[in-house]
Amino acid sequence: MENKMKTAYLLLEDGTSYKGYAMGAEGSAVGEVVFNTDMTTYQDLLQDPTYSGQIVVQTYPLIGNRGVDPEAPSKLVASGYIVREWCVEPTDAHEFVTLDEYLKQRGIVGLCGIDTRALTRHIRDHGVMNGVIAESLENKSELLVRLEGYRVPPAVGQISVTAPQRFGPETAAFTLAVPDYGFRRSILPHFAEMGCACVVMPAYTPAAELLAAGPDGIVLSDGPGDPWDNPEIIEIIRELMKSGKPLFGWGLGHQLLAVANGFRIEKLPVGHRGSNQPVRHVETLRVMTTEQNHGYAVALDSIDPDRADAFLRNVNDGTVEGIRYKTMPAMTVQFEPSSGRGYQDTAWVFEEFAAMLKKSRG
Amino acid sequence: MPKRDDVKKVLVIGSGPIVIGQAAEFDYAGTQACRALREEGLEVVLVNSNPATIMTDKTMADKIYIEPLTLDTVKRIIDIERPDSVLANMGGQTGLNIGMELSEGDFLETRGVKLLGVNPETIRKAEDRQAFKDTMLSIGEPCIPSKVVESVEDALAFARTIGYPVVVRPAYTLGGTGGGFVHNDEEMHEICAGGLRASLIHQVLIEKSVAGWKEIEFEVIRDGAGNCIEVCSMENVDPVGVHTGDSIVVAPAQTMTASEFRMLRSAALNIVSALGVEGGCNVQFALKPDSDEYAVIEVNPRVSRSSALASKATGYPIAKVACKIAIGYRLDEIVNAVTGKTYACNEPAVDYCVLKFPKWPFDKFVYADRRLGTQMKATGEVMSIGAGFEIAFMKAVRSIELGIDTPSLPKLAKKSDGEIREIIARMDDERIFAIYEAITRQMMTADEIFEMTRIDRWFLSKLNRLAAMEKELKTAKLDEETYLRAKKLGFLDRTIERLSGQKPPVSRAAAYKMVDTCAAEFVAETPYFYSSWDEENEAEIYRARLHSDKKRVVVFGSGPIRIGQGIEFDYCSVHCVRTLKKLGYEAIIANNNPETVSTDFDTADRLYFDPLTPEDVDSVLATEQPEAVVVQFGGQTAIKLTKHLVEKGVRILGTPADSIDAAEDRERFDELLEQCGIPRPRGTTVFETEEAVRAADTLGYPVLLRPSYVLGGQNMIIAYDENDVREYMGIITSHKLENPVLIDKYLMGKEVEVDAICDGEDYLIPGIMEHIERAGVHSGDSISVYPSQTLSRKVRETIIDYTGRLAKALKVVGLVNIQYVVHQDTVYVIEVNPRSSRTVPYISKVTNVPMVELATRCMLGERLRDLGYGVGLFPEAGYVAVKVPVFSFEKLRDLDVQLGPEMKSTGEVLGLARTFDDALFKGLVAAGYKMKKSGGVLITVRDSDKPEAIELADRFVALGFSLYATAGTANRLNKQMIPASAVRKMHEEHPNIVDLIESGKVDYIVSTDAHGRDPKLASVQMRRMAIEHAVPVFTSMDTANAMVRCLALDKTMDDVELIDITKV
Repeated sequence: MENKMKTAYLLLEDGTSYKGYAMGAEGSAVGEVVFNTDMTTYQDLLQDPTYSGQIVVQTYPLIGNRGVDPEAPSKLVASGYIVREWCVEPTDAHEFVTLDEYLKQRGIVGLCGIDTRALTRHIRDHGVMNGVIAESLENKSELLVRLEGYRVPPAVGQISVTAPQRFGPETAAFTLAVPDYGFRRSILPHFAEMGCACVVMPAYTPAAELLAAGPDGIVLSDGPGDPWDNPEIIEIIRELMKSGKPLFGWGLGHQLLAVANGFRIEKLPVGHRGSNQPVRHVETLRVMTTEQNHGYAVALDSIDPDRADAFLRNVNDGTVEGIRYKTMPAMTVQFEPSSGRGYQDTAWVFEEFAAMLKKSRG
Repeated sequence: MPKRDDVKKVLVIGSGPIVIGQAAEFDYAGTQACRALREEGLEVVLVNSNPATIMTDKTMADKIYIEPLTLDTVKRIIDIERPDSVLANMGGQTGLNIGMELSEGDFLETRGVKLLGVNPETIRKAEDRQAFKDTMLSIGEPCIPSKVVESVEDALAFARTIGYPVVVRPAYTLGGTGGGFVHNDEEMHEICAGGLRASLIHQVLIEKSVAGWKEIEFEVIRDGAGNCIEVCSMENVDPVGVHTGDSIVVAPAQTMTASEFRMLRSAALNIVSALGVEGGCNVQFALKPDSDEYAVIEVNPRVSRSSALASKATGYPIAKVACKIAIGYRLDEIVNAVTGKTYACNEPAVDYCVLKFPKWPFDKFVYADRRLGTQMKATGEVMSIGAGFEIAFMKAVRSIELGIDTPSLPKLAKKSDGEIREIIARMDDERIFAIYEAITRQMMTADEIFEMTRIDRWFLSKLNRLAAMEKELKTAKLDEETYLRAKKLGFLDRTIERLSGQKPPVSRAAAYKMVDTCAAEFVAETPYFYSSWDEENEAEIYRARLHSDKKRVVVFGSGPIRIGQGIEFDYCSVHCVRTLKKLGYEAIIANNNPETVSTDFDTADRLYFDPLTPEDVDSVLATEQPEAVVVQFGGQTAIKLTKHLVEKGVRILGTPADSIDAAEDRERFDELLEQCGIPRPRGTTVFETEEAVRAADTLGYPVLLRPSYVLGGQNMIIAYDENDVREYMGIITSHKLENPVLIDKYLMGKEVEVDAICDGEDYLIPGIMEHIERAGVHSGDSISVYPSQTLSRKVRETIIDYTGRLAKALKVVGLVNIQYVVHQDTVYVIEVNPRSSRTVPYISKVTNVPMVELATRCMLGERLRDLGYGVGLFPEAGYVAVKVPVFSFEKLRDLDVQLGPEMKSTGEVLGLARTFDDALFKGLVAAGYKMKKSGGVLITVRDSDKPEAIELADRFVALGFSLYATAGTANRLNKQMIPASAVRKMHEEHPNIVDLIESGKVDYIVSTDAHGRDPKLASVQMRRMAIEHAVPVFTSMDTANAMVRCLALDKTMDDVELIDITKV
């Protein structure tokens, strides 16, 4: 495979570079370089809008063994993708395409054949940083300048629906309003299972309009980027908080509700990206394995104990993984509760929210 | 939930002797368990009959009983020690079964003893087939259509309703003993009957065959609070149909989609939760390719071979964590010792590919049935780690000691396409190599191979890539880029040079990557390493970060466990490492066996999990730059490296390399003996058949034939006449003969064995061991007695004297093992092995002489005189220790059970007592012999044994046994007025010997036979049949005599004292 491939590089903003081979779309790509430790979910990752503006490194070295479904939806995804080895002869060749082909089709620039472990260790030790995948390092200084100035662009709204869309059962026990900050749709069936219909709405839908439809509850979705990039949405959320409707949020939605409550957001050194992040329920002491893909977290010390409880915490680094509010019927989680390997560990989240909806209705 | 405060003293049940299906992995688990418990300040009492283990070492537990693993014995130990708890999920199926038996009735309750790690209800739900099916049904997990039956008739009826092929799986057995695939009614009669016998509860499951589906395993761990994680997924390269112990296994699973993965992972977690397992659990699935249809195959609610593999593959110590769970901890309270930062509730993430390759005994047992199925046949395994599948595969094939460095098996090169196709269709141990051969020849497409084998195309495409690389190397110019690509696929320089006929343009040492449980997400504290061909060398970085100014010593381990090289070498390697650490060195282990204690992440200061070929070892040395290396504790695997290391100028601690050669080279050895004035049986070396026949005539029959450079008596025979010589030479000269064949006068004397520690001047003999069986039975298969019981003072003194002379002449520094035969009061030397041996662990334990520690100290320059154990013969202990070999005959079809110079046992047990008789009795009980008071004995012996058989028969009759004998023997017995019923031979008309054995009237068989091995021989078939009916067969008059002696004691285990060896 390698003998037919073109050389390509990853250059990091601290000047470190890795020589490998080009894959996927031609050209160069700039992004914040982050690593993901999951071993099987490359297909989901390649559809995940929360990676927008980032170059994702797979720590697992053999990617694309079953090929990639070319039909899988993906509007806004990672800007670059790095693997050690992609599978040239995937087992599902008859219906799927190779990783290389998929990236070409989607215009994602890729890099392979590098020591991904060395790169991961570098990021781990020095924190996430910007990088560029390039075909040559001849203009290294120019590239470095470009990297220095790079910031993951605000992307919420870019991929938001433009008009409300309804998902779930026709005759639902509850209807939920879901402002779309850019999330993977695989979560929606889990609400449906709880007897909820979801109306996915444009990200910037004003609170009044959102409430006008008379939802039973509101779901603040996950999405890409830095929560502080979304001041308008935070304002909308402050309005929604006053409605007294049960609120649920995950990922970016979890962070936005925290900000709306005056809590602080911090950037994690390397973030949590993978599907083996252990989370402990502070009260029940139950531990769950969760899928995560975030670089920001709610700062524990900023949570006002009169307003909220950080009832879920990361077992490894103690960061906040879930908040229950005392001032309103609201619960949010940092992780992706619907997918990942630990779904049976986190399914209770949906049940608990359903209970909140029932209670709210009385 | 912190540690339970009602647990203070725990009895840990070990797994007993090593047999196929239950091997060193339980020493690894048990050792972790003992350490984990003691770490918590608990008092640990241990029972295990296997003396070769680390876990039975005096430092591992507070009280140690090397006693038979029977229910009564364990109960007695409980009454002596009064522990508050019993831990039964660390000792394999043996431990679990004892735990289950203990839980019946009110024994534990009345003594206030808790059963830890095992919930009887969980075990019942997991192991009782019907209960398991019902449980799976209740949580919606699919099972394969099946029915529990207790008779062959019911089995036939059910098979007819679901249709053949079906699988027969006995309930409650070791490693699938007795089961198998059944394609028709006729096979059902045979296999189902065998399965019913093998089952402890006389139950088998008849199951629809899902052969050809993918076989996927999950290792899951769950705590008492219900937290549950997946530690590792594993995929068998061989689809369902081959026992997972005989499958090439890759971790993590490679060919599932994310949704298939999630589906099975969820199922595994749901199952473990539904069963209420608290601890480690293995769940096996069959997954139908290209569908989301799956079925649960089986669940093992305990640590297992798979959990050992998963632990080594991920760095997550399952046994240790399971043990902490058993005493009350939650997963999120147990720190991951590899990272020091994360917790045991963090599912491991790996960033490499792991391969497990089985080691089968067929290179030794040439007549055994090589076909693979539901009955496991491998004695051991190797594990390899690489950044890709290809390099992991290449590392594995050169670790399994078949003498190959690519998947091209030389013997297959000569086969026709048709023959290759036949092997591929057959499913035996060589199938994967035949597939590689077919790919190399391009004689079959991947689709064709897939259709025949159902091995996933992904694996086939990887083999194809290796074959393409081989081809490219053979044809293209070797530039730097090609070289590096070949290295990254796992080719050795030596291989590259051989294939390309060109010198590599550059040559570099490998870099090392860490196994850290977390794919580099966290900085690791006690990682281990595997080689890769990247730039960054983490081992070097790690070493630099330690800032250690200690001297470094690399200890080479013994590789896969096989007949003749077992767990005892791991024991020695581990002790060497511990001593080095104690003396202020940094001890580094290089080994490739995932089952062992030596490859536990915190045994050595650093572990290199890689093959043990010269080139692989060179890279370790390049990174570590050690002061010296140790080869004498790693069996022949490590000894084989000596020549290379000497050439490289590496300092080898202990006995000079030249002495190893002097002991192995026939001519030099003869010279040496002459110099020392020590006699040996007359002999010579020959290269071809006629020469051998002439030599045998001159020496006089019987003669012993063997190739020089042997391991565990590989390919050794005793020839009684010219035909035997011709048959043997015919087999051996069919391979290219590089080394000559040794031919010696065979002296039918008493065999004596000595291990000694030497410092170059002085020597210390911890004990002299005497074998029950006369010379001719391999020392590993003999019952060995310490201290010697029947040797005259003069003979003993001669042995001590000779040992000293040999040690000095060979300049032994460290350990030496010498085997003697005493024939007509003359002592002859048979063999000298200047290295550790099989007997070191048990002699160390019985005599309290820390042999490996002393040897290591000597190797580092200390003098025996200063070490406090004296010199010469160490004073005898007040105890007698009898080591009894244990075989796995029931698992290896067609293998003759006749003992001879070729070793056949897989493990051993020890009987320890104040008298010889009690020790022998315990040893035999521990080895699994039933002590019958009456019943039937079948005697069929060769003419030369008939005089002795009369005496033996007489003693059996005196005990009240009825005798059966084949015509010749019966006639002889009757003439001596000994009643014996004559039995017709196997091929004579019914009722004959077959009917007799099937009738269950025979409890013991004494069968000695001059002509063994060939499974077509009636005597071999008769003995096989006995094994399959679980009737013990004695093939040496001496073993039979020992048995009779024990029976005559008229004792039970209740009559013998149980001994805590820490007090010996």
